[in-house]
Amino acid sequence: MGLERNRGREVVLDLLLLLLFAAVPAVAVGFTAAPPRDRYFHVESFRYGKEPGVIRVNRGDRVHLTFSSRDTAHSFFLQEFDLDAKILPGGDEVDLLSALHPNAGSRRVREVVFTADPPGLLSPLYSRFDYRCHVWCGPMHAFEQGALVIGPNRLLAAALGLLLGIPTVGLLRLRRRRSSGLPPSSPPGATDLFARWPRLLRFARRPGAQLLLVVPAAVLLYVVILTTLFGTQMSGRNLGVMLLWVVWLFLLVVVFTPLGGRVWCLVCPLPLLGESLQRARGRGRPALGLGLPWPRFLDHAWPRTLAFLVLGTFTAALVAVPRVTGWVLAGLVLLSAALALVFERRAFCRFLCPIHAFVGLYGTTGKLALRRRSAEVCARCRAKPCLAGNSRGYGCPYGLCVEEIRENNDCGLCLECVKTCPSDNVGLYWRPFAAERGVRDAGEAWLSIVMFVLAVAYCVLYLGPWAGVRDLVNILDKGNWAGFAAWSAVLWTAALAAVPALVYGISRAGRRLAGLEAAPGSAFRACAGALVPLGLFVWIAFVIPMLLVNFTFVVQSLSDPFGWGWNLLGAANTPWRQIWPAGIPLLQAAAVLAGAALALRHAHRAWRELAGDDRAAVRGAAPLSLALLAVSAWLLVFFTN
Amino acid sequence: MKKSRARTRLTAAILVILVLVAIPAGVVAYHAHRTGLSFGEAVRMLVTRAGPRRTGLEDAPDFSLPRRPKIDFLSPRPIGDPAGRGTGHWPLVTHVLAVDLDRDGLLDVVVCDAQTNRVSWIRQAPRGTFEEHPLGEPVAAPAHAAAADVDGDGDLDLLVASLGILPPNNDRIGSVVILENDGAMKFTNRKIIEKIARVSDVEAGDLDGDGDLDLGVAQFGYDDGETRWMENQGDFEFESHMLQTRSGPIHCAVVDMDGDGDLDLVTLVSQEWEEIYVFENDGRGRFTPHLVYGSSNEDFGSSGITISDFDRDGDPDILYVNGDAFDYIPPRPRPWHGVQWLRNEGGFRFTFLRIADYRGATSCRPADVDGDGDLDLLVTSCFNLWTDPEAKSMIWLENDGTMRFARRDLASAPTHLLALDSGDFDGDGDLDFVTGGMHVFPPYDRVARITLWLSRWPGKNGGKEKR
Repeated sequence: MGLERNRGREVVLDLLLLLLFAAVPAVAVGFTAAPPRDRYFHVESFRYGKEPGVIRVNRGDRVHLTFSSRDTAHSFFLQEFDLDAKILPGGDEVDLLSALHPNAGSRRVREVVFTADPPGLLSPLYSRFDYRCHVWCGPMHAFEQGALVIGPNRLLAAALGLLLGIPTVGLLRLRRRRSSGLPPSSPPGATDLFARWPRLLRFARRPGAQLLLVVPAAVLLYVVILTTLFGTQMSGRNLGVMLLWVVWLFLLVVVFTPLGGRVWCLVCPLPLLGESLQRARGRGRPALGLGLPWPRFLDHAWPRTLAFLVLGTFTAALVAVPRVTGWVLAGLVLLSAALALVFERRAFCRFLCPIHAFVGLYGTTGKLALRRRSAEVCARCRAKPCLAGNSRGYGCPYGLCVEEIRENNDCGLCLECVKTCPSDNVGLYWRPFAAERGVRDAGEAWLSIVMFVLAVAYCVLYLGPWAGVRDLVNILDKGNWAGFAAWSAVLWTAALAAVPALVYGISRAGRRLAGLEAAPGSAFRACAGALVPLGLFVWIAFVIPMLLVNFTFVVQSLSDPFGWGWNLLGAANTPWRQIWPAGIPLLQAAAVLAGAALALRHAHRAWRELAGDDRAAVRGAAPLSLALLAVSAWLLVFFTN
Repeated sequence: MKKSRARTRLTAAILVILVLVAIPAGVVAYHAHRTGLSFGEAVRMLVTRAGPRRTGLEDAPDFSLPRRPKIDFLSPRPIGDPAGRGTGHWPLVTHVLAVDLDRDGLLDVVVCDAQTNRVSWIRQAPRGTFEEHPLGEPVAAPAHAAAADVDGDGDLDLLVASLGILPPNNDRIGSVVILENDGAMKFTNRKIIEKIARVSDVEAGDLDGDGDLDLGVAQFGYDDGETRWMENQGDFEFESHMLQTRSGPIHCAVVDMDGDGDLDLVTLVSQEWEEIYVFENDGRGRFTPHLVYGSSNEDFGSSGITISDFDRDGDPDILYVNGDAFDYIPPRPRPWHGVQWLRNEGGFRFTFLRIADYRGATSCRPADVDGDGDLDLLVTSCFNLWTDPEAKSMIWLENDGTMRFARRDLASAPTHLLALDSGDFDGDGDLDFVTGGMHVFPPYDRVARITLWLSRWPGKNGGKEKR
């Protein structure tokens, strides 16, 4: 009890210290504020950007904006300041509308003037406001944006202060534990959901349990394919694009994976066709198809890593051209079915699925995990029906024996083993977030780096103010194939060679500082593994605006799924309204800080395992920690400034 | 056991097939119901739309017609305010209407100007003298005006379609405004509906057979547009009846297309649809949609329709120009831009006949230009390649009497001729023309706001000219 009370006091003290780290720079930066004055900017819009891409002013400044267009019609949409200026080429006047009440009419003005004093309770923390285009001007219209940054940027100052505070508090906690002799705090025990909710177990044991969950998802997939292939090719009005790249992506990254690990695989409809064909003969009978084993030389993370990288390279086309999305999805379904007829089990899911690349890696942080309950029971079991199947269920489609499952990487939570286990020895656990750490082999280490690089690249590409970078991937209306080739080369080199080399260099420096001569591979994996939580949270920071900015278009497209002028729910004409746009940088900063904290914790724990003691671990993890802090600091600047 | 399992599988398979078929079938059936197509036609249309972008004209014969020498029979003359009263900006004329508004026997011009946000009247009095007067209060981005005695008091009122703003916008900022004429040429704005998708056209006609004038309304919107008719309830009150919710309606003509004695609506829906609908009226204001044309090319650039008995066979045909290029960088004409004729075959069947290629074609008017008894076509362009000084802003297509055409150039200046109308302004018995310029993008080297083109056909009084 006393021990608990001490820990509680420590947590409160740590939180107060963190608050101090945030508050001091946030308050201090306020003293740098310049007196308000008139500021004049001319904003030129073009496909797909604004010049200047960033407008920096001080709190209270009177901002005077004039506009022009380099090519076609655009708008300057700044919801937080209730501005929507419609810009035509060739003119120096704009039609100014209210962003919040667009139906109230317009007035023609030569100059838009407003005071840089953001409204709202959190106003002192609001510092960055993205201006966007609200006139569809081409396939990459959604990414035409720039940023109004109002100084002094207290959010950035507070976030950077917190970023410094996190390792400080971490080191203090380590020191306290060493001096007090307390054991390192271990995560509290996981809860077996099957034991807590027997109904859940009864449902999982039903023969068609997974099918019940997959069928609605399959119907949705079918709708997505139909709407993307036959609906409007204006992405923002196509239900398929909105469901897939806004709703599903957000849910996958922010909800399913952090909470459920690989729970998406439980309902994923991509393998449904292939697996249904495989299982056409029924339970306990040989699967339909050739049933060949997957080639050993491809039995690792690399195929799905490369699949993700290939798809990731073409994201602009995937998102901006609905038909491409439709064909890719249909292709994935067919590929999965074809592989199911040639290879045993879910070959596509296990080795090629690009979604597996994401959820397999980041699902390790998930709170949900399927594990055996008792090692002894598994040891006594000779038949291994969880792997081979029996009359009650199919063998594990992922080729796993429950007793071997230690991490979330491979198990797709299909729950077949719950049915087949004769000893009721399979548990579904709700555990602390990010309980697993590290990557198991070099392939997963590279996967971790690739995913991290892609997350950062997407942020730069689609959330940044740099139109020139976006032009590099514009193979759509600008046909910039040379730029695209250069971008792809840089991306692939960074993901597969440059950043891994950097991580290797960091791991080498860590080994030297920790006095570790051996285990270069382990040190490399420890460093790559620390990127997992940070990577996940950069992905979260990336998808937050996807949903909050585009939510209106989801509602509109639900009412008019194909963009054919329907109005099923009466919401097709809903005016565009972003959800809490001023709060997006706040949420993104919070995500980066959470990712950084967990990454630093992972780094320390991984090096403690390598080095054996805390002091050596701190020394060994120092280069990695510095690198993580530097990257996180850059990310904070990127998202808030 | 085996039988039961087989039955279960068969049921599952049937269910799967049903779902796979039922979802698209339901979608197509609903869409067919909305558009007035048969199920098969809807399938064909959707499948075609899913294909590559094509005009349907790439494989067709070359429609660059034989060019004949230019005949200088039109005398251009600027009328009205030179560039918008007091603004000093490039003109943005969206519509011109040739009408004797004050009924003094001299044709006037009503102008919709999105630069000044005004509807104005260029009054001709005395003959050959034109003076511009703003009418009523400002109207936000007026796109079209039609003259009709809406209140039945014996004078001409003006029906004005208000976009709200000219640049693309999906907000509900459109309105229909009636400029009520008090008989002394003083006009009062009566906004009969507002806060709707941007309105691009409004036309009057007795659509429900009750003797008063109702309205057909095209609302371009942007992503969301609408087509509606508005039932006159008297005293400037109108009740809306929605006909279609589809973006991009440009024109809504009120005309008896099927010869059954009641007025139907013909709409041109641009944006990515590029379709023409006829809404068949049962005489009581109940409409059945008929899709009479749809391009497989989402970039076809539909820009206008004009209803006319072009072949003089007793039924109205649809003259259709496509040349909108507003969404290109910079706005550039496309090779498939041109002029076509949808010949009315009866029963809401129309034969699509390409007449000519013409880059940036925006407006057309049928007129017996050369006085040979058949209808020729005068066509203007807003989106030609204006960096080329030889690019033509106005041409005419000469009918040889057998509906075969030859092209004759008319003018290269002014450019950006969006608006066109015809009428006998000088009272000499032939049709003159009036054009309006929408100079929304450069170059600005041949700018004019309103131009009157008086026809002086060579040898008019002595027979045909020498060609």
